[in-house]
Amino acid sequence: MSADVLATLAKQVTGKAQMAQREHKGWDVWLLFTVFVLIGLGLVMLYSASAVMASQRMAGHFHLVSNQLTKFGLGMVLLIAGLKIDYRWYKRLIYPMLGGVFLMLVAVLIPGVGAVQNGARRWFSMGGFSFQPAEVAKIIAVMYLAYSVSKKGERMGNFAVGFIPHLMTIGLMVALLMKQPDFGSSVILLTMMMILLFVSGAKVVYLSIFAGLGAVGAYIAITNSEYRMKRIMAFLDPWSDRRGIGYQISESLIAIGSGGVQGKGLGNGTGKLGYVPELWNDFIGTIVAEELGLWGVVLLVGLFAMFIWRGLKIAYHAHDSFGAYLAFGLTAMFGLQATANLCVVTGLLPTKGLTLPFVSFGGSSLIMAMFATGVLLNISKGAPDLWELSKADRKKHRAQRKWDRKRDRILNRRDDLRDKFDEA
Amino acid sequence: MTMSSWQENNRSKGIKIRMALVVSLFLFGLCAVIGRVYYLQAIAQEDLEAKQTVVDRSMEFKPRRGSILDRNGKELAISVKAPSIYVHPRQIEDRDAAATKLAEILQKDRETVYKKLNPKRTYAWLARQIPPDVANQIMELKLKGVGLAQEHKRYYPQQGLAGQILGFVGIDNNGLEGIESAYESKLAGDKTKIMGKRDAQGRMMLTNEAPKIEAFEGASIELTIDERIQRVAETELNKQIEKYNAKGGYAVVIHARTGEVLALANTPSFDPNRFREFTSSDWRLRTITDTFEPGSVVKPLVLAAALQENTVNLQTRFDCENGRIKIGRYSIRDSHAHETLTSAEIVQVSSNICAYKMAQTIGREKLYQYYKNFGFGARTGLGVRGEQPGLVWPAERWAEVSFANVAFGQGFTATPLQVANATAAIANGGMLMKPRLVRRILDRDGNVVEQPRPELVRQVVSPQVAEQTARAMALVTVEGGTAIQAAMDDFTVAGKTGTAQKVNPKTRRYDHRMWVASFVGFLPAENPEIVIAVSVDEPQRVHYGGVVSAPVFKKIAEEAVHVLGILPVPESERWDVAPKPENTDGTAQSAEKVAARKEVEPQEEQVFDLGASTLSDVSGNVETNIRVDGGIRMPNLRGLTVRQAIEQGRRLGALPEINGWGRVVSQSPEAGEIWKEGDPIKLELLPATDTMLIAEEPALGSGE
Repeated sequence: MSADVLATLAKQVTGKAQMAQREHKGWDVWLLFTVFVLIGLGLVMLYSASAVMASQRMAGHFHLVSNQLTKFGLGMVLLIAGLKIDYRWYKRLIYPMLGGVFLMLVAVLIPGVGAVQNGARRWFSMGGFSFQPAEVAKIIAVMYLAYSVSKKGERMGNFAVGFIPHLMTIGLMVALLMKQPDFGSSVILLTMMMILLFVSGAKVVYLSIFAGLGAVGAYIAITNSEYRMKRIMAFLDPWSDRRGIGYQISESLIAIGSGGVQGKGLGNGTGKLGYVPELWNDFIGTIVAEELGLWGVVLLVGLFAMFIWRGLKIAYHAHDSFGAYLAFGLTAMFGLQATANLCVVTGLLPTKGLTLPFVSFGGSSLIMAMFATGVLLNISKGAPDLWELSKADRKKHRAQRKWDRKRDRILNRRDDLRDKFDEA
Repeated sequence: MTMSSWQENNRSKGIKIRMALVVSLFLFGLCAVIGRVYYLQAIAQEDLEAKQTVVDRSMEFKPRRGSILDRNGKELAISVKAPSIYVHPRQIEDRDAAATKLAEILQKDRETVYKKLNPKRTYAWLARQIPPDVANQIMELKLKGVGLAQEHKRYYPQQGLAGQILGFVGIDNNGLEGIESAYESKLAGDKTKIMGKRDAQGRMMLTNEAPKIEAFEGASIELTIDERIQRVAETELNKQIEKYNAKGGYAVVIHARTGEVLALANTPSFDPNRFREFTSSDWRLRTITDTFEPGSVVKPLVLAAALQENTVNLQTRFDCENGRIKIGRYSIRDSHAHETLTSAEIVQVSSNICAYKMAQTIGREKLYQYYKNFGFGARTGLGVRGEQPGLVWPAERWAEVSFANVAFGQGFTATPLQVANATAAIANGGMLMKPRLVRRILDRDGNVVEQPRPELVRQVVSPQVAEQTARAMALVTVEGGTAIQAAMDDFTVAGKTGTAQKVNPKTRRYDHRMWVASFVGFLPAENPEIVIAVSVDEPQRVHYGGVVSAPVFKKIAEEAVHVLGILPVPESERWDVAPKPENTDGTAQSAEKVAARKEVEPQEEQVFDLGASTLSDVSGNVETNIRVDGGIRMPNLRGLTVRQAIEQGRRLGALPEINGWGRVVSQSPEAGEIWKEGDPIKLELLPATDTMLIAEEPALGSGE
């Protein structure tokens, strides 16, 4: 009888799987296309921005571009990996991954392990290859939040369930990041937490209180650091200290403005002649605006809008709530970074040290962004959770093996039964 | 069934709305970026552009400056490579240490070097055009922000020679004086502008490929100056000035036919290599910037004017009032009293009174006109900055005594070059040429880019008059003349002394202790090649031009004859101007002796009484024209002026076709060929040039 039941069940499962296979959509080509155009535009602008500097101070005018191309190759590997690995594995493996991230964030703070650059200990440097754990931390944090809020579901409205655990985890991560210090990533993490909590149904009152507390915290962080204070002052009036802290932002504004609506033409910008620092990095938006004009900016913004739209679409049509939260979380994180970065470049937000995803020079950022794209594409496939569906099978197999082992053990002990069994 | 678990969730709708809310916030932010960029690029654009640090920058590359050469290609001014040290003060790491080290090597004050390293500046020259070994020492320090640039430094290998003519250049190789300044555009070459952008460190970024600088190299200027003649002129002048403790001196050497200036010397000399050690008055080319009353050296011009106006001939006799004449309340004196003198003798013994009387025969208006025609009162147009025209008052403003003064070269001013050039007109058959300093302009490969031609200013007197005047001037350097010291063995020297009184600037009167002793002359008198004018300013003890300046003339003339290879005129063609033996008994101081010689001289004059003496050899030819069957053997017309050529043509019975101006350089039919009546005679004329001189030389020999 039991065999009959099992057979029926097995039939059912394979039927479901076949059905799922049938309705299985292809992954989102448009998202991939958008990402590739962004990366391509980034490489072109990166060359225009860095060729002069690179030929003067580095191996050659192509130095940064070839470096970025290497990272792109690595990113492609991760993108394909993200596409192949079923996203639900991140849910299942979230705690080991979270543990790994904490380990990295602690390790990077240890002198000798973490490398110092621009006054912050943010990098692991191995054999000429540097790697920024904060970029990994952001993605894992989003995965964790997506996992956690999807698991808690309806209970998100509860303060103790929906709020405290997330605040603890993300708070610890931020604390470690601020040790580096990495103010930009910290802000992104906290904002991402707020966004996901908000979306998953946390009480707006709690969020507002938390946002208020966050603002106070940020105020303290800013006023305690002369450097951050100056940055805020530079944001409020870039021209007051044009040669000092306001230099970067005022030069960026000048470069954008002098480009005119039509732009100066690709390669004709002057900001890259050492006037706008970090032009190929955080301020790559400046050279887009300067050389390609308003239309270049519209293209750039349009590509990010497209990315956000596709991401939102993937979230809407995700197979499960974890997939939805994860797709939304990743989309929101890159949307947030892009928006914040472009606002910084145009003087709408104070300078924060954020890269423009896919476009800016920066290995870790590009690699992780491409991995996230792979994850999004995987979610977009809407594939059924084969692992979960085959659970019963696996259970049956396990039970069978267990029973077999038990039977063998019994038969070994009881010769009488063995004979009887044999007879049967 | 098709919906997955989360889609079926009741909460999903609310979640989706919240997600859309967050995303729209991002989209709003992105739209704000577009709006902001539009504001920056469309509305605030001008504002922002105004704030932009000027990034366009052009850099001028100065190519190597052309050389200045003498007429034989000897280098008078050249450009040599010289390293310069620049600094980017902002890149210097240790200003203190760098200043100490650099100051030590440069042997400069540490403070001055320290100041140059002021980090407020992005770029500064630390030391320019320094010796290579010093530059190497600095580069060996390997200091960050200290660099080496190769510049060109102007170097004048002849040091003080012709310093005032050459002038000098500033630190940026721009000509500031003399030829360096006058021919700046040619010498400097084509400056090339390279467009570029300035980067934030103040460095130049080229936006185009840099052109090859050699292609723009400056042209070289070949002067008419002959370095050897110039050198002798300067040395001899200096010697004489030292000997007579004079204030200064001038010497001008001009090529008679072409107006090419062979030497322009004045003292003190000036070394353009060290121009800063001299004062601006030392930089002046005084032979054209200084004017003074020329004195008796103009008397031949007065004679020429009178001859041209036909009011006198060489034998016309004037009463010299025994050396003293009263005009109103003034009296004019001769240095030696004479009773009567012929026109020629007036020049020979330099009688002021008789020069005045001779001038009276043409009247003041005419005299003034002739002076103007000889180039006084107007710039010669040599082409170097600072030339003075001199001052000649118009005739109607002359008081009678001024007229007298003007007649013997006082009461108006002229530059040494003007005096020489006016005399050159006499030497050049009455043709006043424009004096020239530049012979050729050569590009960097030595190709001739520009070759100024001799320029005739005007025919002042006829060739006949010029020759007669020259004959009178030839008497000056023979026994009985005022400048025997200028006489040369193989050449007849035509000349005139001048001993001009200067106006004392303090008393504003003529001062009998302040003189300008001059001698101007040319040789060979029969066929003049070079004209030399020498003036010594305020010589002490002796002030006679014949004593002070004539020896300098002779020294320069000897060198010039040697350098230029001037051939002596064949003995048979030389003018017999030497006084008869009975008159060569010496000083010729007394009036009687002069008078005695006077009686002889008219006979000599008979000898060279020329209806058209220049034509004598040619007319001889004409007469020896052998009428051959059906035609006439063509005479040699080369070297004749237009008028002479036409005259010759008439004798043959034809009007020649004249092409050009100046003197005949080629003829058709050639000399010796048969010319048939009715055939055209074609003549090519050119202003006198070296080529013509060469063409003429065989004729000298053939005349024998």
